[in-house]
Amino acid sequence: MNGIMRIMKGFEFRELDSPIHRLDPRVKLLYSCCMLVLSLLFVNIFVLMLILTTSIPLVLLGRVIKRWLNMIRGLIPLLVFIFVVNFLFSPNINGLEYATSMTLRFLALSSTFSVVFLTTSPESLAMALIKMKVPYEFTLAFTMAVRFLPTLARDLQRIIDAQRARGLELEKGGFLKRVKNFIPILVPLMVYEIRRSFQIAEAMESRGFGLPKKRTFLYEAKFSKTDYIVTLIILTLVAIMVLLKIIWNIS
Amino acid sequence: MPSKAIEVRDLWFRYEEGEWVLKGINLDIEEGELVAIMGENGAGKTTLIKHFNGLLKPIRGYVKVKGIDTREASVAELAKFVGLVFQNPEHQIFAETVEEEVAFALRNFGYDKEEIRIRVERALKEMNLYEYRDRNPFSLSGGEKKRLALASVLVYDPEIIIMDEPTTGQDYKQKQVLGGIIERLNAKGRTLIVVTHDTEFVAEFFDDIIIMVDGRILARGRVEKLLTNEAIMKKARLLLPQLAEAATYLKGKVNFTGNYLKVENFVKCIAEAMG
Amino acid sequence: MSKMGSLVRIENLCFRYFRSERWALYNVNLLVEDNEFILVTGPSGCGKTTLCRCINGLIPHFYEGEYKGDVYILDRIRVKDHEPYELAEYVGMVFQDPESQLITSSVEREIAFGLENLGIPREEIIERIEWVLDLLNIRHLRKRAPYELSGGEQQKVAIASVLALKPKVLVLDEPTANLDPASSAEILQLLQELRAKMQINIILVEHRLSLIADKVDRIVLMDQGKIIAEGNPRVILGSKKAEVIGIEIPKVIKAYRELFGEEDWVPLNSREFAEVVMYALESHRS
Repeated sequence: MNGIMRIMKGFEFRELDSPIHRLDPRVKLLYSCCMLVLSLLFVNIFVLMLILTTSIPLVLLGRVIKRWLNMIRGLIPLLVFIFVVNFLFSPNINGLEYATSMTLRFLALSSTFSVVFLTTSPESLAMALIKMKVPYEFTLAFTMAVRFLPTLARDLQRIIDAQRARGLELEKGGFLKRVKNFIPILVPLMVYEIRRSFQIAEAMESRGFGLPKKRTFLYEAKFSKTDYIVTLIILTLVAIMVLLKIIWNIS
Repeated sequence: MPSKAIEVRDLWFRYEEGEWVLKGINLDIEEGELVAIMGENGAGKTTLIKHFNGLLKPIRGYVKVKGIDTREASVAELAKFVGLVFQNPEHQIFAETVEEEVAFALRNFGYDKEEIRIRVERALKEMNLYEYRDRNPFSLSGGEKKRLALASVLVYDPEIIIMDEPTTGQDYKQKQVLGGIIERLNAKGRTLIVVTHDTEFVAEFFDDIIIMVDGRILARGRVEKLLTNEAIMKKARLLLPQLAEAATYLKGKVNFTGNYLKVENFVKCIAEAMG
Repeated sequence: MSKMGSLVRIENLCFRYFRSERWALYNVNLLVEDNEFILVTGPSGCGKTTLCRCINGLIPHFYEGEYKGDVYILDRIRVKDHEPYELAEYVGMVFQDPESQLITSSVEREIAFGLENLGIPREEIIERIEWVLDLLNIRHLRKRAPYELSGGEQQKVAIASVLALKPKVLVLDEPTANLDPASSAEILQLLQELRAKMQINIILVEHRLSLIADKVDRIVLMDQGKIIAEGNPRVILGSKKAEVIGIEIPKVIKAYRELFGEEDWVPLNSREFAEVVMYALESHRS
């Protein structure tokens, strides 16, 4: 469980003040999308290493070193697994190189998205989407899901405790019994959370949610000089890489 | 010689590398005792009682329930004689009928069909829910759901019964009914541990109370001694019962003796002072 | 009688929830005027929550059922004709469960939420946030996440985010039900302070009468969907009706009644009770 917690914490927003936190969310989204594209385009180990290393200054400047390192630590079993599988099923003779590539790719992507999520609040991400013309209600569904995740986890634990206190044994029994044993967990959870969602809706409407007026926003995402510069850097990097690929046919 | 229902020695507990929630708890509860555990939200009351049926295991120290070390027994084993009723019945209701809901624990413990039928009927009647036995448990009112949660535990007649905040969301009449149930169970010889911050309720139905503050036991003693002690109440962030408050204003003018947190005794003390 | 007329006017209100056989509210009439602090109380199922929902429009728009009679806000706004979100700037509602009211990741954003919904300009949103943080003394909670807060803090934030909309009426449906006594006392104290600081009308549904009886102007006693009594707290809490329907009569009132018999006056807190007893003791001695 510990490893999974570490990984999950590596994607949880941390409210801090840092240059990376202050970057416009659209820039950070651009960064992660570009890194995604680049890592899919290339198999070359050096390129993938480069992609990985672009995230490191962001981690340092973003003051999220501990969380990021913990996440990497949590990923190790998974990375080993990816390496072994790709080594065994590599499509060409040089299995070692291929496995290293795939593992690096996964690591680079994890690192990229981790640093973005660690330094960007769900609401900022939502704001970025809104600026890209996604309707407010959709982004609200996203931010609320994130906000209520710990609440859901806590409710789940309470339900499990209550049922275990009445003799329910989740660890025992064959496959079928174990599945059946989840009914006394899932039913109360679903009913409870559905009821909660009605309570939430009531409270939201009672604070004006649903008014056909044009909505205003406390936090706007605005591009600063730094944002323009960083965007330029990212786009330049992408352009160079793509050019290199075309000119020198780097795979 | 009464044996110990619960024995706690130097219990330390925390969740996953967080702060310590329980800091060196030492506690003995004899069989057949009736005791209230009080404290503000966050004092560690719920965390403590979750050790009594093994849901939580000590990090340091030990907890013995009827002589059994909880680290060596499963929750299911301990639950057979420790009934823990949680605060919110909606965290456990799942069955299609009230009857099925109450039978859940019995099925888990492997009772036979006939035994289940008898016990469920008895428990429902005791909790005044027999008429609802075929109803969907989700359709019951808040107070009825609370009685259902209680019935679901009492159905297998555990020797030790623990209730976590049973008075939240209950109106006055419902609290009186609850107090009556607690008294009845204790009269039958059951060990009763009730976690609550409702000082008025405790003043009315309990003699022996334990006060927790910040993961430790601050005090244990008679209700009229502790609930009238302003210093202790303040430290525990509990509210003085109203009669205790009134008594502090009348100190010196009226001699308050006995358990004057009960209205009849309080009135008696004042009547005597008035001659 | 103020120039503005009534703040809330409930006329012959009856409501029955969809597919329910009994009336949740029956023939309810209530007039609430400027700057009052009203306590609504009664046993479980008496209709207190239903009444709250009728005032802010959740009934009949969110909850279906048979609706008769009318509710008017500020004399001119007919609740039946307006969705709850249209009434949000006039009637603010605080619910029992603190956590289900807080939907954002910080207290600041939470307070902003309602203001954003109303389309209030950004500069004013910022002003109002500062104002309400000071009003409720929660500046230190500004950047905190709702999930991390205690129940009492959460409710303060819920109250803040409703007050930011500057409603004329604040309705609170058992706001302390899930809180421990110290936090409950804090919240109720807060309401009393708010009353002193601003022109706001408060309708509070509460069980714990010993904490609140001495702070309210009027008590409305309900049972089985009807208002069975309303008026001066001293009269209501001393009445036979209150005794019979099963509400938690504060113990000093019970003690007072046993010592001094029934009158149209009862003490509303322990201090008043003590004063009466001390006076009686003096007279007995002389």
